[in-house]
Amino acid sequence: MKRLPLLILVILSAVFLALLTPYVLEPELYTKENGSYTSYHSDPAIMSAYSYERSTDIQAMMQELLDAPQQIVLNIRIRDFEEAQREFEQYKERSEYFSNVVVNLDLSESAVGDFRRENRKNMEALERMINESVRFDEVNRLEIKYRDEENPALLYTVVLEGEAIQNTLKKTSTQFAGREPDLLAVSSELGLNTTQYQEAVDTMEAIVEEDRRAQQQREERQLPLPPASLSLSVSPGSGRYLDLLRVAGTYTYSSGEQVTLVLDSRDWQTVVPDEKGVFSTTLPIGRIREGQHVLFATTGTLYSNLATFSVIPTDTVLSFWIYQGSDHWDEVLLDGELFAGEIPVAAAPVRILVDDIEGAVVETDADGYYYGSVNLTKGNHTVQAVFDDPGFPLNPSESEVNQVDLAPSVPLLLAVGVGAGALLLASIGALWYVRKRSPPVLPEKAPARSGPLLPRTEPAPSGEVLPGAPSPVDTLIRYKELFAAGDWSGAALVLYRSVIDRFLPADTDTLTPREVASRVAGTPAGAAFGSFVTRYEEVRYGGMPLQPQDRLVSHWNEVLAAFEAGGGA
Amino acid sequence: MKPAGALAILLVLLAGIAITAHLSTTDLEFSRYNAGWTGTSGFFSDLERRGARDLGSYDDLVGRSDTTLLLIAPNGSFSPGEIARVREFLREGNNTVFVADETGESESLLAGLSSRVRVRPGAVCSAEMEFWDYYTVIAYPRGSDPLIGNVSSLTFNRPSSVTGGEVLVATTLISWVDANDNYHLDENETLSSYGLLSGERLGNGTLYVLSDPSLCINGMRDARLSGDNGVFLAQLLSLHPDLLVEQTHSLTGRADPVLAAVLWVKKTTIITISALIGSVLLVAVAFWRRWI
Repeated sequence: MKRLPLLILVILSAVFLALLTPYVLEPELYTKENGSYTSYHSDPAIMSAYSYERSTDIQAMMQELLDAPQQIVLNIRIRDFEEAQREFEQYKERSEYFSNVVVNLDLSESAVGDFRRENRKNMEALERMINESVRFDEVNRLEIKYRDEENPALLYTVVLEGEAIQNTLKKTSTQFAGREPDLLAVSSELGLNTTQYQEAVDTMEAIVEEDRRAQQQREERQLPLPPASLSLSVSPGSGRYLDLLRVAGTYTYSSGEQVTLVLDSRDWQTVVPDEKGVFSTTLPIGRIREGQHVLFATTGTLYSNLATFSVIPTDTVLSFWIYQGSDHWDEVLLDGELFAGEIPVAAAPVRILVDDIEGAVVETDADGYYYGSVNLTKGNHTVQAVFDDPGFPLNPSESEVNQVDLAPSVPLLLAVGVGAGALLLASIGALWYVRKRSPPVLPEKAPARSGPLLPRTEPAPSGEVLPGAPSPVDTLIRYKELFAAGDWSGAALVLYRSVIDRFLPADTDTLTPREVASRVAGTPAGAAFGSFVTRYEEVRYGGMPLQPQDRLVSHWNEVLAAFEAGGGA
Repeated sequence: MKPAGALAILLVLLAGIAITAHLSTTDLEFSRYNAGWTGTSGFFSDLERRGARDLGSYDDLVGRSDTTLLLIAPNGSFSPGEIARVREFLREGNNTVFVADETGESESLLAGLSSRVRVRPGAVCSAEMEFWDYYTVIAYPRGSDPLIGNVSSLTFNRPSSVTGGEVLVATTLISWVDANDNYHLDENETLSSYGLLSGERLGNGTLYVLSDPSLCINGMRDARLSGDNGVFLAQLLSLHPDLLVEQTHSLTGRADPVLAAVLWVKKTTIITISALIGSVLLVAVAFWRRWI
């Protein structure tokens, strides 16, 4: 059975075809994406090793952050503000690092995220605590100085300023303590030890109590104010943001001297009493802290009575919108408005928190409008605007938290756009090249193409002119036309085509001139055709110009003669 | 022999080798015949070296002692008779049943055994991860048990969680169950420590339930892990002198239809011998009739 090997081959082919059939329509047999993840597991071989913080490191970081306030408040208590500031800077640095870790691990929506938010508020409270305590210490020193100078007016301003600071400290401490239950709950959930944090809360309360007692003693030690020929009053006695208070006074026995108005221990304005010794001005409530303030007038040697007024805080509303930048995908544009009731808040700093860390500070304009931008890294981020400047008599406000996802959709779009552009350019380029390379349409060739062709496999009989080919005369006329038009390449092609169409089989169309020359080389016309092709290539591909009596034409005549004499292929 | 005949024989041999290689493996998840990363061929090689035997019928469990029964990646329901046999196996002898399941398919078996341990489907994620993938959870042993004696940590690959019994291996606190399967930690997904291996004494025996059979796959065996997965598996196989592997309700026993037929032939001695004799006869006849 001679056909057995063939039969085996057929059977084997059938078997392999059957095995391959399921994959015929899925040529992508294996890719990382389709082969390395299943519903049960992922292939460890294609995953990158994780070398970032592990749970235990994160817990250790949180414990450090929870313990940090204790050392800071202890330093505040012993009035070592430099050390407190240094500890605070370290705490702030660790908080920022921790915040980055939370963002990188995408843990914002968890108890860890809650801890980060509470920690951020604690950080702000501690910063305020340090700053206000430094001011309170300064007030204590000023009190000693003014008491030595026996200056009851300045002493009085110091008393009032001390009271304002003490109120701020108390408020900060109350807020810090108010967060304790939430923070303890989160810490308990995360298995953290809260002993030192609770001690910090107690210490902070003790600091406030000590300052309160110092302030109380200061008030008790206040010297009586002497009657003066300089008097001052403020009306009304209280106001809110952008209210106008009227400040007026009299200077008996005035001789045209300037009177300086001192607001909260600092020179505020200079006025000149009229001929009756009366002076007045207005005090707009702008960037001034809430609470009690004191104002007095002085000529340098004389001091007026102390006029007090209080500034009542107003609630604020902060709106916030974000947009992705059009040019830079990692840039997020933002804007919003800050209002105190119906009144826009001007020149107020608005902090932009990116992942709970201050990313930018922008300022509102006269209409309460603010705008700016922040640059983000790829991934998920939270962006929020916060107004909490204690320099304004305005209650703090926060915008809603905006989620920003700078994920791969953006680069993908870009990549698709670039890819499509490249494809378009390549297509245009290819089209242009193909058109450029296409031979000019020769009217003379048309009859040759429309005429019957020899079978492609059979060579033309030697010396026989193929039917339909243009005559040498027509060819020369067309050559001269093209030569006159400066189309030397086209003219050379006309001569070459006339030889091919007249004497050579149709399958030479697929050959290059050199290949045709090598095929003809063994025939009597070989030498002449070789010379013709050499010159033809110089003109056609080398870009050389044709001369009026060019060698190409003489070689062409030799080739025709040789073929007609029976020397063809 | 004519050249064409020699070429045909060579082609037949090469084709035979290729087909044999192709048919002797599969890409089915957890299959012992799967040599890829999702298969358990490596684990079953270890079992063979340890002298483990397949559990042909649950009646074979009767009267056994000092034996570990492995049920890796259970699939399908268990009949009351089968459950009763496992219950007796646990209560009567000093035996161990080890179940590795992440889909909850073992529910009927565990309930039938009156066990408090349950597998809770749902991928556990953790910030304590081996690779840049929350599903590659690193978990730590708790308490003391022969199974986790020399194990400092284990690396899992998309595990579920277990509840009930004595939790022997658990995740760290910064872990969550990816309830909506979106990979991310969402607001309603709480951080907590999740049990991944539980043990329970049932009668004279011990039941272990592991929430991730992926510990046995080739991909995990071949990977360089920080966890002591190798030590854990070695200790598992050394709990008792005898080892049985359940194959009727386990994904590890699955094979493609063609491979299953080949395996059936290999397992049935008379058919194997007949096939060999037939092959030899065919070659002899081919030579005799000068076909080749």
